[in-house]
Amino acid sequence: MSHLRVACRHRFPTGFDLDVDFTTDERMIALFGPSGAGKTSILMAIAGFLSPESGRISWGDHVLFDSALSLSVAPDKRRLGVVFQDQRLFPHLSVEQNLRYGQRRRQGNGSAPAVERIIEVLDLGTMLGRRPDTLSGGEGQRLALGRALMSAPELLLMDEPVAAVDESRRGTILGYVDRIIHEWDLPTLYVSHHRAEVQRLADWVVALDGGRVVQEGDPEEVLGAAGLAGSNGEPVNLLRLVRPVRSSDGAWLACVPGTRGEVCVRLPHVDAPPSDPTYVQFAASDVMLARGEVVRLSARNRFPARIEELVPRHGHIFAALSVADQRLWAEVTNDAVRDLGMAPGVEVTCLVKTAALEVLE
Amino acid sequence: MVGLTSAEWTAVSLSLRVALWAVALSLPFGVALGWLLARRDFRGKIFVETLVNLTLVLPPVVTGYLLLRLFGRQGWIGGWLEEVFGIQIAFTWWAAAIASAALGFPLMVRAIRLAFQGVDRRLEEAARSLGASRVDSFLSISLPLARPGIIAGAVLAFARSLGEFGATITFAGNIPGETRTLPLGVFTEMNRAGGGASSTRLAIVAVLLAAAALAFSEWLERRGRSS
Repeated sequence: MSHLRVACRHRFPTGFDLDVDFTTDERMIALFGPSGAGKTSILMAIAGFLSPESGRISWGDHVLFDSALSLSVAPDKRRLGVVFQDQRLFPHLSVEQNLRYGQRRRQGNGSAPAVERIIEVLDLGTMLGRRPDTLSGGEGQRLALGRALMSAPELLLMDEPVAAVDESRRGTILGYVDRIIHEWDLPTLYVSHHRAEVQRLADWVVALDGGRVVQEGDPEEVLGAAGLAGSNGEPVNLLRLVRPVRSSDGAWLACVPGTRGEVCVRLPHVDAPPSDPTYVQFAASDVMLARGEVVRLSARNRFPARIEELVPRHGHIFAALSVADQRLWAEVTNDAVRDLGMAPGVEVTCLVKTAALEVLE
Repeated sequence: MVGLTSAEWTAVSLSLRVALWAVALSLPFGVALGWLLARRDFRGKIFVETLVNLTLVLPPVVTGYLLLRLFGRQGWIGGWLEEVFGIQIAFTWWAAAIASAALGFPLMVRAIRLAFQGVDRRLEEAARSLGASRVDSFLSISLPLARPGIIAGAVLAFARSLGEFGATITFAGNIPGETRTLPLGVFTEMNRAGGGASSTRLAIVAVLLAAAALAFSEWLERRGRSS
């Protein structure tokens, strides 16, 4: 039973207003959105460290919080594991004592992960005798993951677990997160503002902005389409590219597979060979649309696209396009829509400057 | 030290006993109050803070007088203790310990409060999320992390105790072997014809004890910083 229901409303002294309501049966849930969207507050409310003014939070058969019933289960009785963004390792205890802290306080769960296996999977064996202040950011985060697992949680809450780690080590930590999720098949709620992380880990995405749920669904739907990136709430494009190959002039190309043929994108200059798959992100305002034949233009990336929908928003028009099997957005003016005769179903050419592409890790 | 007379030894050992008991009696309250002031906001907090710090600025003689009114045979607490248990506090070495505790208490609470304020509350949350109850997280996380400060507070109160004079002489009197502590001994010998050598010897012991207590507290602080 992994049914998570979160409904809460809370006004913070700062004036920030959180008002969310979502439900999911998926096991790997991501709360996604820019910083200040309310992701961590929701996690803290589930963990029991924030009592919303009103609402109800339940997990499986357990009601954790219900303002109408004046019910709030104590944080230590919720059987949740929390991996905090800032690690929060106990400085006066050794690595092993940190790990054992939760183990000694387990609350009857037969299928608890074996201690030895946790140490093995997270490669903690060589650092058991050390003090937390001697650990690197990545080692500390592995310990934080292990410590949370040791308490045999029924739901694991992770708040930006790679944020405290150097840019270069993030992939490694993400690999460990991946391993523990698969090894123990633990229901997980993952908080992140990082699109690629969410895409990689989540089965279900709840996108937040300004304390509200703006979209929820599977990752492709939420992140690939009108997924929002900036706090301005404008759609941002994300393309999933596979099989990067090096062209004769040294630049990397990667393609979007599609049932109606694939579309290839020229990547901006990168030092290392791109990963497979690679994600590129670009703003809707960086996409140009053309009708008819396009000749002698500097934009290197041109793909055939079909207009699916025209959405007026913030005084502009956003054209929803299907490119191969993925969704892209282009920001266009009313004039352009009229002059080019753009309407749903019309075939256009989509142009993006290579320099506008941001390659995500 | 070999040069001390038996009366002088008595004064020194009595001083140490009184100071130890003063710390032992006040430490549980000091920890509780230090934690409360560091971690909780409540109505009347300023009133409690003022009350705790009052003996820091009040003339010790006044503190001793108030204690006498409270614990004396006609006092609220003293009268009750005498009636129910037949115990007399005033003018016994217990009175000296209580007087010392009252004077050292603000110093102790201040150090302990600072120690708890220095403990990251987020660590307590982490402990709760791992299944520790409120009390458990206090005992396993907050208390060990605040320990250097708590010990420093206890040492400070102990040292303050060794120097207590005004409240002791008012509330406990100056009874040889019972309440004549080291400072009272110095005072008595000073006022006695031919007591100059004795008061000098006692004064040297007082300096040594005070220096030892300060050195110990300094050592604790350094150890706390390096670990």
